[in-house]
Amino acid sequence: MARTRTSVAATSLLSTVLLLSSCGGGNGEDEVVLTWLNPHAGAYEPVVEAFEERNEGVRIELQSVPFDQVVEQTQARLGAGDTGIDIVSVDPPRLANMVAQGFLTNESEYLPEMEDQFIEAGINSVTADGEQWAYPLWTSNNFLFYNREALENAGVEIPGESHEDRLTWEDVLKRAEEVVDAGETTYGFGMDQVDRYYALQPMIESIGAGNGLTGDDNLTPEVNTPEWVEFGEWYSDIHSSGLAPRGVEPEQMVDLFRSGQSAFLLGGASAIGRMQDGDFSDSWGMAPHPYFENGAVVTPTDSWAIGITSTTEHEELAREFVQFATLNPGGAELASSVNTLPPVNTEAFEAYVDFIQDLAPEQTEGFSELFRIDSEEHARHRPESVGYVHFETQMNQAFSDIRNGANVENTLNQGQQALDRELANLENLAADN
Amino acid sequence: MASETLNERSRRTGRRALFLAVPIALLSIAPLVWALISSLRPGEDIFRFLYPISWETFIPSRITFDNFTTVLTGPFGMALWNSVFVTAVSVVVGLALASLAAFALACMDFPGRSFIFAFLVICFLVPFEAIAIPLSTTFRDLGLANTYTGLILPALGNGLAIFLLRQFFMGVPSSLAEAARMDGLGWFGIFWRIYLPLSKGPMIGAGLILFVFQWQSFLWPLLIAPAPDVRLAPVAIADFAQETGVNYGQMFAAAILTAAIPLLLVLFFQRHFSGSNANSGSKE
Amino acid sequence: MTTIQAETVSGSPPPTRRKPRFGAQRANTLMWAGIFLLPSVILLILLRFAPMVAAFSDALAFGSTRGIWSNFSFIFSDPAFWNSLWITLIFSIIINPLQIALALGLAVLLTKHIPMVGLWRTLILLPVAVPQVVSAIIWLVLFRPDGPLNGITRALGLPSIPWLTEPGWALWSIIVVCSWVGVGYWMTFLVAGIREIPNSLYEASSIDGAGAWRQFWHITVPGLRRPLLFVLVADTVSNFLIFAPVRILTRGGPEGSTDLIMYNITERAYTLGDTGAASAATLVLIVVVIAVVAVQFRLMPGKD
Repeated sequence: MARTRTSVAATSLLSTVLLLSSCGGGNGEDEVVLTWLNPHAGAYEPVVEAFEERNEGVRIELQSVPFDQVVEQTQARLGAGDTGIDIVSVDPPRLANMVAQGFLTNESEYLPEMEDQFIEAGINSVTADGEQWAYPLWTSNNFLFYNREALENAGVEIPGESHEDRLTWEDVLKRAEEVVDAGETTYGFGMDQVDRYYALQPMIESIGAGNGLTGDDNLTPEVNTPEWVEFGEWYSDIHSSGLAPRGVEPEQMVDLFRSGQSAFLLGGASAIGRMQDGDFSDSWGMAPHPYFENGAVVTPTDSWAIGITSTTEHEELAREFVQFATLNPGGAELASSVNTLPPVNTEAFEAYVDFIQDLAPEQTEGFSELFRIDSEEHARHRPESVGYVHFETQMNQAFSDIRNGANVENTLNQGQQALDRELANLENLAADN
Repeated sequence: MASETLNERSRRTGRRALFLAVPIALLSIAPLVWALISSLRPGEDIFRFLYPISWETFIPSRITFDNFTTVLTGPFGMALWNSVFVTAVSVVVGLALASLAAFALACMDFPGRSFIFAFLVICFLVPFEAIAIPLSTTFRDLGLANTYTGLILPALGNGLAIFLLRQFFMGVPSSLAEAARMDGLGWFGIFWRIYLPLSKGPMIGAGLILFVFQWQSFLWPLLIAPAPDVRLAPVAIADFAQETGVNYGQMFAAAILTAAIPLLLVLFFQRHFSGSNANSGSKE
Repeated sequence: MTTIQAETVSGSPPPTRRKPRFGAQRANTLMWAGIFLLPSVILLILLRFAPMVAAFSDALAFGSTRGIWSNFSFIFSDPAFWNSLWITLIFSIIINPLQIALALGLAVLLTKHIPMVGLWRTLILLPVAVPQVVSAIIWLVLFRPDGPLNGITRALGLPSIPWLTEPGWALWSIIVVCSWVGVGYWMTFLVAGIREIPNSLYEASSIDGAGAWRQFWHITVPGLRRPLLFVLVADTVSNFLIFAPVRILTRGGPEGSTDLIMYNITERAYTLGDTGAASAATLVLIVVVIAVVAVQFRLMPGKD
C-alpha cells in the first residue's frame, strides 16, 4: 500500500518536472508565425491555407475566441500590450475606440486600392477621423423573411421581393396579426438581433429619431427625445401584446422561425443557409427591410473588418495577408466561403450572390439588386464614437428591459443619465492620459 | 440481537429514503437529459416541441447521431483531451501541495502560523477573474502563453483546498501523532503514514475543488491559451455559439461528452470511494 | 483578522504543542513546516496576492487631475454600482442559507442505507461537471416564456411564470440555476463529514430511543462543525463571486434586478475596458467579503 502511494507520488512529481521543462519552448525555427485573433471559429482555414501555399515559411495561427467574448478578449489582450497578436478582427463601430487606444496601424495609403475593390459602405466602415485603419471583409443587411405556408394558409398577401414592394411596419404588423389570429403561428414577428442596437437603429431612425449620439466626437447621448420614446412605446407594445416573443434570446430566433412558430423574421443573410438546412427549406420567402409610414427607408450595414495590430513584429507580412484576404478577389472569396456573409469586395460579392442563389434559387432572385440599393441608398452606419461600446451596452440593456415590460420613459431617461455619466468619465480618463 | 434489529431498521429507513433520493436525483439531471435528447434531434426539431409540452417534448420522434459524429471528428476531441490532461495534472499536483500545506498549518507549531492561515483565507477571497488580466500579462512575458504549464499553474495555488484539509486535519486526535512521534517517526512520516490514510474523504473533497476549478475554467484559458492545440473543452464548446446563431445540437452533444467523462470516472471508482463508510450501518 | 487567529488558537492542540521540548526539535519542526508550506505559499503569492496588489494600484488614479481616489468616487457616485451591492446582499442572504440547508438535508438523506446510494449522489453532483457556458444556455431555453418549465406549470393548471423577464422573478431564477450546480457540490463535503462521525454514536443513541430528529441535532450537527464551517465560508465566498450565469441568462437585467457585483465588475473590466473602476470595485468587494467571513469565523468557532 505504502509502496504504491510512493510510486504514484514519484510519478506525479516527475511528470510535473518534465512538464515544466518541456513546455514553454518556442515554435519552429525559421517559420514566421502570424497570429490572427478572430471570433469566427472554423471560418478562415481556406483563405489561410491558400496564403500559406503562396508564401512558404509563413504560418498563420487562427486564435478564435467565442463570438460573445471577442470584444472582451481584444480589449484585455491588446489593452495589456500583448505583442503575440499580429492580425485582429475589428467590429466597425468599435473601430474609433480601438484607434483611440492605438491598437491599429494606419492604412490610409492603400485607400486607392480599397476604392478599386470595395463598395463604398465598406470603406466607410473602416474610416475613423477621415483615415483608414483596417480592411473591410464583409458587409451586412437585414431582410424580412416570412413563413410562406403560414401566410398562404391564413389568406395573407405574400410580400413582394423588390425594393418597390417594400412594406411599412404598420402593414407588416397587420399581416402578422392576421396569421396569428388564424392560428397558423404562435408569434407574428421575431428579430434575429432582438434588443441589439444593430437591428434597432434603422427602425429608430426610420421613425424620425436621431441615432442616439450627437455633439463633437459623438460623445453626447440623446436617447430620451420624444421620437425615441415613440419608438420605445412601439417596441414595448409589440412585445406586451404577445405579437413578438419575450424571453427568447437573439441566438434562438432563427430556430424559432424555422420551426414554424413565427410568421415573420427580421434577419440577416446568414439565416438563409440555416433555413435551407432541414425540412423548412423552401417554405419561406424574403422581402425588403420595412420602414415606418411617413418615415425614411433606413437599413443596417457593416460587418467585420481585419486590422493589423500596431504591436506586431511582422507588419509587412501581416499586411500582405490582410490585403490578400480582402483586396484580392480570390482571397476575399475564400474568406467568405465558410461564413457565407456578403463580401465588400465587389468581385467576391458576385461569387457570393451565385452561392446564395444556388442555395435558395427561388427566394433570392431579387437579392443582389436589393442588396445594392439598400447599401447605396438606405444604409446608415452606426455612430462613430470612442464611447460606442458604452453606448451599445446601455442601449441593448435598455431595449431588453423595454421588451420585458419596463416603463419606456423611465428606462430611456435612466439610460440617458447613465450614458451622460459614463461618456463624461471617458472624456475625463482621456484627459488624464 | 440488538444490532440486528438496528441493522434492519436502517435498511428500512434506507428503502424509505430511496423514494426521496431517486426523484431528487432525477430532477437534478433532468436539464441534462433534456440537453441529451436535444442533441439527438435534427436542428429544426430542437425548439419545435417546447410548448405546450407533449410526449414529443421528451421523446425525439426523429433521431440522428450527426451531432455526436461531427463533434467528435472536429477540433473538440482534441480540446476534450487537453481538458482531461490539464485537469488530471492539476488535481494530482494540487492535492500534493495542498495536503502538505494544510498539514503544516493544522498540526505543526511554528511562529507566524495564524498569519499564514489568514493570508491563505484572503487569497481565496480574491476573485480570480478580477486579477486574470494582469496575471495573464505576466504569464505571457514569462513565455507561458499557449502552454500546458500556463494553464495548470493557477489551479495549483488553491487556498480553498488547503482550508478544507486543514479543517479536517485539526479534527484528527493529536494523540495519534504523539504516539507516532514517540516511535521516532518524523514529520513527513506522520503526514504520510498517519494523516493521509485517515483522510480519504477530505482528499476526495479537495480533489473535487481542484477538479471543478480547472474543469470549469473558461476566462483564463481564453486569455492565456487561445491557440488551437492547447484549447480546453469549455472554450471549444463556446465556439458553437457563433455570431450567426448557436448550433444547439452540437453544443449540447459536446457538453454531454464533457460531463460524461467525470461521470464515468466517478462511477468506475464508486466502490473505492464508498469504501470505509463509518456510517453505512453494516459492520464488518 | 484577529478572529481567524482566535479560531486557530482555539483549535485542538497540535501534537507538539504541549511540550516544546528542545531547541533542536523546534528547529526541525520549523524546517519541515517551511518545506511543506513553501510551494503553496509561493504559488499563492505569485498567482493571487501579487496580481491583487497590482490590481489595487490600478484602482488608484495616480496623476489624475481629479485626485487619486477618482475611481472610487466614480463608482460610489454610480447608482448602478450601489444597486449591484444591494442585489448582491439580497442574493447572499437568500442563497447561502438555502444552499446549505438543502446540501445538509441531502447529505443526511444520502448517507442512509439506500440501494445504489453512490449513483444518486453522483447524479446530484453531475451538474457541476457541465461547463457553465452550456448549463446556463440550457436553462436559458428551459426558462423561456414558452419553454418546457412553463409547459409544466401550464399542464399543472398554474399560470406561466416570467422566469427571466420580470424583475421580481429573475433573481430567483438565477438562484435556482446556481443552486442546481451548487447544492450537489456542497453536499459532497457534508457527506464526507457525516461519514467521519463514528457510527457507534448513532447506535448508542438509538438504543436510548432517540429519534432521527434528535440524532440530527445532537450527533450530526455537532459532529459536522468543521465541515459546516468550511461549507459556510466557501459557499458564501463563491456566491459573492458568481457572474457567468448572469452574463448568459440576464446580463444583469431586467432593470438591474440581477446585476450581481461580480458581473458588474467583469462588465467594467472586460467589456468597457475601464480597469481603474473595475479594480476599485473589486477592492470594495474584497473588503465586504473579508468582513462577512470574519463574522462567520467568529460566530462558528471550530472548537470541539
